[in-house]
Amino acid sequence: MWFKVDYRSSKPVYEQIKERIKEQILTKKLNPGEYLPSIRTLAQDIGVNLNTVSRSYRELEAEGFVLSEKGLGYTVKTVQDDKIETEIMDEFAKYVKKLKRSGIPQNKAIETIKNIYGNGGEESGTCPDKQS
Amino acid sequence: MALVQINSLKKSYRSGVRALKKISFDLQDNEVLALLGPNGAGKTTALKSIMGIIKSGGEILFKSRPLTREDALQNIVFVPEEKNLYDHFSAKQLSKIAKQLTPKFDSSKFDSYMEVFELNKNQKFSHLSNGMKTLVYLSLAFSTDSLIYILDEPTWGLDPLMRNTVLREIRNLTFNGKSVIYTSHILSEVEKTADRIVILNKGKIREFDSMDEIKLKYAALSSSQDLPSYISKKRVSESDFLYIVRSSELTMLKNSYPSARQEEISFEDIFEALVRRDSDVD
Repeated sequence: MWFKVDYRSSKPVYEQIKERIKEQILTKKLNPGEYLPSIRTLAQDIGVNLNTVSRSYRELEAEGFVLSEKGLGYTVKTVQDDKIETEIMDEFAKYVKKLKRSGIPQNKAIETIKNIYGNGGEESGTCPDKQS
Repeated sequence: MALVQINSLKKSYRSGVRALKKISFDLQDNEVLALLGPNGAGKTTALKSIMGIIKSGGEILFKSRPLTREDALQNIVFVPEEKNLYDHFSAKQLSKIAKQLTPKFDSSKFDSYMEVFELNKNQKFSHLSNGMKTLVYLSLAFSTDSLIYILDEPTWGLDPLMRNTVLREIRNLTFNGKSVIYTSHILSEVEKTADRIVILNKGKIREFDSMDEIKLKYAALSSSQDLPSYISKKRVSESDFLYIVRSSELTMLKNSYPSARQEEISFEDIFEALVRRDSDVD
């Protein structure tokens, strides 16, 4: 698993990691029963400290997304997709409110959404996984 | 249990300068701890005190017992601020000396660090640039097996690329069960590498927590009004101020001053606010 961590962001790094893993669960790149990368592996891959990854995993566990199996690692739990989806949509709503506040007309916002989803919009997935 | 616990460390110089004013912090297993602060904050004094190079007041515990000279020799590898070694020797010769000095030194590890750091083993130490001297020193340190590595300005004189390489190696130490304390005055470095950060200024600890926690503890508000409580206040335009406030007071402030706008906050803003506040107070 690899993704870019943004140190400049005001969003804590462990939050960024949690978000990315939730995305992977939602897009079925990580399936129930599958192991998350070991703390050490992920830390090494994305270039962060052990404690940061370990905090993300602990919180994902507390939130019910993964299960800690003693000595073996963390596995993905069967969670209702809507739990993650709701979180993402809440985040989205914040942006939409910002658009509204800034006086961006509704049709312009919708146009952008359509552009990103593409014309079909069906299979392009709920969250595009940017690897760049 | 903390690996190293520092309690009320204080140091005054004969000149009357109080370099450390009762600072306390701890180092945990598998942790990178950064001491961050402007020049003269007391970072080097703190490290030298732990190493017993200078005598200071307070208490330093190693695994809950007072740290002895023997503990330090057995468990700590120290890289000082001044990267001086025998000028006439090459890195290759220095590695031979290190091998004779301690069985904990691994010559093949040293050779691989020389490769990672792109150094020529046969060049005399005195002929190296400042950055290269730092790298030779670090190679010697990292090739010596130890529980704790204390590094004073480990990225001194390095270009940004090599700086990242060194930071990665520092992090790798913790993947192998080691702990690190290092000093820096470069914010972006610390942001990427440290598990927890001690922000020092004028001999006092201004903040001690993980980067993520520190970012959550503070918030930025811009307003043209006078806010009643803040960490720092900076004029950003004719009519506006940028306030750095505690997150715990954010809701109260936002409710009382609806025109105040919350802004993105960076670690730089927080650091500046914590360090600047001192100059306002003193």
